[in-house]
Amino acid sequence: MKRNLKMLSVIGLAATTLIACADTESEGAQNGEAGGDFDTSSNVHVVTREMGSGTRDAFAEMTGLDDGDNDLIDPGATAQQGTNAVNSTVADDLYAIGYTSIGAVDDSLKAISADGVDATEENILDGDYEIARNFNVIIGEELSEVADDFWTFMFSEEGQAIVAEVGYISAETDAPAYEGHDLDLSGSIDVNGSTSVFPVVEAIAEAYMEIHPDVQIATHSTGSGAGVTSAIEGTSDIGMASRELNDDELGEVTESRAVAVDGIAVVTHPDNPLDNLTMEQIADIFRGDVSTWDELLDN
Amino acid sequence: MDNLRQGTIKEAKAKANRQPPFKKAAKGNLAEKIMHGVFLLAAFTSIFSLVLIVIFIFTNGLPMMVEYGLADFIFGQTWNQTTFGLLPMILGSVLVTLGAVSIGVPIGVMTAIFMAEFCPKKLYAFLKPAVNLMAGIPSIVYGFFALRIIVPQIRQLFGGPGNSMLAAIMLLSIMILPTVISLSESAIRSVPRSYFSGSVALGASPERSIFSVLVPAAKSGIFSSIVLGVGRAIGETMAVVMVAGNQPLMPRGLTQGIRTLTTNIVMEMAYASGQHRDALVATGVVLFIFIMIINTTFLIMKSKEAK
Repeated sequence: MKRNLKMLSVIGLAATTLIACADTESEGAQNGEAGGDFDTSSNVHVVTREMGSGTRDAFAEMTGLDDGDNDLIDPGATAQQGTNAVNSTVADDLYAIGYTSIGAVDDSLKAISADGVDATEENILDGDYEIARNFNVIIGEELSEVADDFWTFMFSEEGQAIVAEVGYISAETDAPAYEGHDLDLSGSIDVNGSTSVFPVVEAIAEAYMEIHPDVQIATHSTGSGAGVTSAIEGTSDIGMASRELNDDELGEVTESRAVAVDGIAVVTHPDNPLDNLTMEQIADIFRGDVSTWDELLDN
Repeated sequence: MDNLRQGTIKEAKAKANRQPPFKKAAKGNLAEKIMHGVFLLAAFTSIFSLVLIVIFIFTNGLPMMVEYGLADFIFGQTWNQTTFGLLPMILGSVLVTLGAVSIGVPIGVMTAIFMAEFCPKKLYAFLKPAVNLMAGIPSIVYGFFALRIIVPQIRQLFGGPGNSMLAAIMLLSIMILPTVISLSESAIRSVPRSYFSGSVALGASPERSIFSVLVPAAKSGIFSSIVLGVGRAIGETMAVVMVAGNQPLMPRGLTQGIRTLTTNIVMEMAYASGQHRDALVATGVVLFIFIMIINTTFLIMKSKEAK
């Protein structure tokens, strides 16, 4: 009898879970349908990255919202931690607008063109699309032999091909082929820094570890600031930063080099009728000067 | 190991039987002495880590608070990379916690009364494990649930971005339920049954006996459950950061975003350096003081209960 009851309760729980899942699905569908009638009098829901994020710094700098130590991005904007959190917040909200790395834009988001230029690879390489930045890797002190070889690999033809594979733009167009296949290397490398650069370097590191199975590369995504600090302090071999280093930092590092180029796309919900914004409009939106969607959609 | 321990206990018992003065028996037993040391060491380890945490938080946080100006830090209303005014986050934490308690506690206490007194046995066999399961769900799962279910609903019903104080309040009111329910239930159950039968014998209906005799008798236990619920709500981080909107601004209304003390730390810790980082540790100091106040309240409640 008692066992039956327990069984029943387990089945009951499972059933509740299933029903809950079914509910979510139908809700998702409803959200999609609601997209058909976009209410232009609705408020613009601005979504931004958290303070100190490399993406945020780079975006503020390139849209003219940079103001010394602090940026001018509206403090009233919803702040989300990490690229994924911004993406899912914007993908869930018909009236949201945010910015995210172009490599991270998928079908759940719509990239808005800036000054009539689409956020595509060619446009970024040509310099037509203005909101683009370098993904930098940084050496603090001298590199160990194995780390030095990994560094060479990152900037080789193979390494740069991986950059393109993961959806970003190779920083070096005619990189030399990697020649260290036969080297007998072992040891460990510690790489630390920007959450945006992380997927790129991690993919390169995985390929490298296949070539040299005795080398362990530990990649940590801790943020650009932490990446620069750890490279300077020597707690990591290589740092990653999704922004340019400031003069103080440049004075303390041995080398900072772009491993990939990434555009930052202004993104909305796929059902948003908006297609294009001027750079001024983008700055106005993220400064908090635009309140409703009809201010943007009329022109 | 088990055998050994049992053997030791048996021996000790035998010795105690032979020589009634217990102290003497313990003194003579080396194994017992060693185990005594082991337990003492275990106790010290936990105390030691607590002391380390306190030292770390206060030595890193207090100098910054003093240097920056205590009043500016606590009552400042602007938070950015150079200005550190914590008032928005303090108010955020307090308001979200109050909101969560005012929704979660009535539901929790009533559930506890139901489970202790009215619940049919068959339903109880389902309800009790379900509440325990709720307590075991990782907070990030609660956060994800709230982000996908509560936030869109709020957006549809009230407009606004959805990531809001209301979302955080609703999420936390669910998250404190298991704490409130299990502690309140055991408080109600621990009231001597004679109170209930006495009240019924005097002619009160069972319902009246429960609400006018049992629940008041379990009052201090129920209060401590509320205090622990408050502690859970104020300390929750990962779930709240997903739904609260996290704007470092003074609270602007239920459907607008808010940032709490815990989310303030987790949002910016990765990138912070210099005084910014110290300011986040100092946020931890403020949070620590809040938790100390809550735990002291809990201790006072407990000692009252004991009386």
